[in-house]
Amino acid sequence: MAPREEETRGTGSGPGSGPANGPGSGPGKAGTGNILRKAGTGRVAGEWAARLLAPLATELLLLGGGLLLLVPLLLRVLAGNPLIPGAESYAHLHGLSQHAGAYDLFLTALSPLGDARILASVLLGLAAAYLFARLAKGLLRHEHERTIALLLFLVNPLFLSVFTAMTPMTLVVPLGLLAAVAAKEGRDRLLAVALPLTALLSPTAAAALAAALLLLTKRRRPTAVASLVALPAAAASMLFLSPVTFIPSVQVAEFGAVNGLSLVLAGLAVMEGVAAWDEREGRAAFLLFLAALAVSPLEQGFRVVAGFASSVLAAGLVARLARRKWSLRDAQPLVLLLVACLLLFLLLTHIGAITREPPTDKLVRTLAALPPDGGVVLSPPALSPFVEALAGHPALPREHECDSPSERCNDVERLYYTWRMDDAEPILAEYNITYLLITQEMRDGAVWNRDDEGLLFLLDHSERFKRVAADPQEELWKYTPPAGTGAAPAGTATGTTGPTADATGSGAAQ
Amino acid sequence: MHSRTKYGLLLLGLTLLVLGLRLLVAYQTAQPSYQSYFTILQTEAIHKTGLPEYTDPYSYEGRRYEFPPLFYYLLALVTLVAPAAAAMKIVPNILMATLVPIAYLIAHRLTKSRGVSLLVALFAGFSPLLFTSGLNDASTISLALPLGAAFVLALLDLEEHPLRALIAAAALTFVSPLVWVFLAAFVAYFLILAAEKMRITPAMTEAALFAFLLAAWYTIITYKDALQRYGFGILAGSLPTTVRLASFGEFTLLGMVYAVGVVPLMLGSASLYRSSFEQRSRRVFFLAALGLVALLTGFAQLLPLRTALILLSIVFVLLAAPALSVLAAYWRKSRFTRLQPWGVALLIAFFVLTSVLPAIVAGVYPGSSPTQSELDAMAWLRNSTPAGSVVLAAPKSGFLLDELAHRPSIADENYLLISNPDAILGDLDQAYTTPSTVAATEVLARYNVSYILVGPAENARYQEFGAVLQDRTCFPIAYRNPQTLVLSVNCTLSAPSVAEAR
Repeated sequence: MAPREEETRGTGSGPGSGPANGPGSGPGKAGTGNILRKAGTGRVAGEWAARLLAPLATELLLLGGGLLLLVPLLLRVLAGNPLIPGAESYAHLHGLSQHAGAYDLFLTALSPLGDARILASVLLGLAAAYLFARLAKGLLRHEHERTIALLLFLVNPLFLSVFTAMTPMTLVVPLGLLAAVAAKEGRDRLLAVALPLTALLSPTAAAALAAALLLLTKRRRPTAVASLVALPAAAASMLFLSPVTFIPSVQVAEFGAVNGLSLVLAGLAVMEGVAAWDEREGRAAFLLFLAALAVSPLEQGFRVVAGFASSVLAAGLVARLARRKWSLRDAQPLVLLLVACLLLFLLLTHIGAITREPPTDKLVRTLAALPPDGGVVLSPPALSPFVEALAGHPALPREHECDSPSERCNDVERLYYTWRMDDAEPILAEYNITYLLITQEMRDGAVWNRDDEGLLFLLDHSERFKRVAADPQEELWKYTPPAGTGAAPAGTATGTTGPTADATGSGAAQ
Repeated sequence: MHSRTKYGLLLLGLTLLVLGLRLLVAYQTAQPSYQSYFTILQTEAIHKTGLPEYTDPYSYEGRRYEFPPLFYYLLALVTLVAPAAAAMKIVPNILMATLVPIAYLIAHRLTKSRGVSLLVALFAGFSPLLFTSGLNDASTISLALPLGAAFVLALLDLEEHPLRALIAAAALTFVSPLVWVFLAAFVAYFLILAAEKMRITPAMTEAALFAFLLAAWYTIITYKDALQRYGFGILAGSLPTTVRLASFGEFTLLGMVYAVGVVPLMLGSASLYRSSFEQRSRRVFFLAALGLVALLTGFAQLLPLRTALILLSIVFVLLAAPALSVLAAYWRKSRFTRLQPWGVALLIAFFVLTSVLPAIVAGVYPGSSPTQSELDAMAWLRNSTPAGSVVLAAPKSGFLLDELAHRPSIADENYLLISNPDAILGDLDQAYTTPSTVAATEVLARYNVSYILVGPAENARYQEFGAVLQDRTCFPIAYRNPQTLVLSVNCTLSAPSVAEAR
């Protein structure tokens, strides 16, 4: 018997007959009730509940978003670790960032509040959620799409990580959203203020936003004017405040990166982009999203823009899945349930990650064992803000110092891998290192692969190293130089090159 | 006799023949494979607690396993009524034998010809790599492969029976990460259709979406720690370099010809050519996409070479169906219609010579299972050594020590979530091969090793042994039988062990 040939060359169906419903194929203005009916799940009770709750949905979600931001902070308190999470928070709170940016001025203005300044981040998060809801009102036609978009904005890992820490992004996100809302609602003066302010804090985020506004909104002239005004702000920021450094680093929330993009949301956004390919606006938005996604590993500003854009596109997909007529009817509720499960799991995992983020109570206890002599501490770069802020000791190397090669970092690396005291001592003396902070991660492959490798051998076998703190996870060792060695005064990490050669720890809170 | 009944009986006979031959070859060795002891460990844990053992109780440094548990539950169910050793041999062979009727049904969907489908079922039963897979090894692939094939079958009937595809996708997801290869195949399939300007059916999109979301959710839950540790490098990142080089070896054409079998490879290639350049078929395109993904992941060393070749075998066996069908139709139109049975007989004879015989020979592979002498050594270790004594052994013997001796070893063949596996394997090799007693003792002290196993698995791994076999003062023989030695460690160094140093 001849095989059944389904289509012969030249007679195949044309493109454009994919599964996606076209624009406007969803429910009309009748609201959520109609949607439920069209989706095939339209039970009377469900419709009434949806009708009653629909007007309140935004307010309820905003309230939920505020509470959501408090959850990881409260969990940290309950776990006996009430400190603000994240190394970047400490860099800004204690004036330790390499360059004082506009955000540091903002924090200085709030300094009377002390550690309660974290609540400012929570409030800014609420403001961002409100502005996002307002922006969604202008962008999305249907109420249920707006509700889903807001929901996905709130469960986005970036929302949690940005607004439970103290980073410039806490200002960048609401200001960027304000600029977008202003562009959408035709408030040109507001746009001309918000976009430059965004550029002052994060030139990359502002550039991405300006590109999106220019390409996606119809009112291009005011946007172009605001972008022109933003240019000097961006230049001033990059030249005088905080230079933008592009260090490629793929950060994924599902892989445990607290400030990472969500693969799930990005995946849903890409699917929406493919499904909406035939829609002109959808195509432009998708291409912009892909561009932001492609550059997101380079800089945090790009990552934040790509991250929140993924919420909007993913919401489009979820709404599309809910309203379309399925060929596989059994699959529809399962698919929607799976999306909900994925997002819930993502949210819970991320709350856990923020709750466990350093400084941990173990690290704080270990640092508390440091005598108040201001000796330089050799520590992993990621922990240096904590060493400087919580213990008041200068740290070597400082955060991000070793992202690009330098002589100091080469020396530190040589020190980690030498097992000869003759090689180690000149480096220890040159940088005046008195204490060494060794973590379990360093032993587990971050630096060493064996427990007798390099410096670990010396720690175990040289009498010049004495253990100060005995926590098995965070080891603290003190180095005593041989008698007669001319050591620099305590508190000075000497060195040769680089803008941060003098890590004196000035400004560190005791 | 009705044609349907006749072919039904022939298919049943073929399935039983495949199963019988598989069991015959499998029972040439008395024990299941070394790897199967991990499965036995899991089934016993399920019997005791209702849950698989996610924490290795005998690990030297304390380790956590991450795996989908469905296969182990299935075997735990069978071992309620059958001895574990028998279940480890019989169940995987029954599962793999189900590939025969599934291949028949797929071929029937593709060609509507019972004769052709029966030939394809024969190829599926005796394709060399498919025949040797799961022969003596109770591992998840023996369930994942039939489920994958069932998923393909369900996709061919998607419009008529959508629920079957959803169930098959869910089952495959809960059994093996191999589901991701099928998801990649969906992407490749959609790209092929787009390139050919053919319509993507909504049902196929929906099935792919369901499978993708389910796989994403289940993978994130099951492999949470591993994903956080290795990120995108989860496939290769956990393996030590030496193991990675061995598992993700060079992809060669000759290797593919041997693995797939000459006949299915030739016929499958003909089908691919025809569907690409003459007559387009969605169904063939999906199989082609699956083969393409297996090939690319094999080349890119994202999938172990053997797994990639197994998938290619299935794809080419199934792709043989359209080519055979065309060949049969062509023959009927020719002047040699009367000779068709002889042609079929010749094809079968050629297949037997090039695939069936090599498959059976490859199946009787010594060294994949522990010998009785090793089992005796395990019994001695369990009864005559103090509990908690660390035993130095080749990674292959790791699960054996866990399951039978109940003694910790420093390495087994599951490297996921192990800290510094390269360093551990390096230490292991050094301990066995260094000619210096001091160096060997230093390594042994680091891991608190009390006994050293030297059996067939260690002999296969090391060509020459060092001080451990030469220095009888430091390493006296504690137990010996014709094939296996257990040495005890008498010498110690004052260097701190890893545990003490921490």
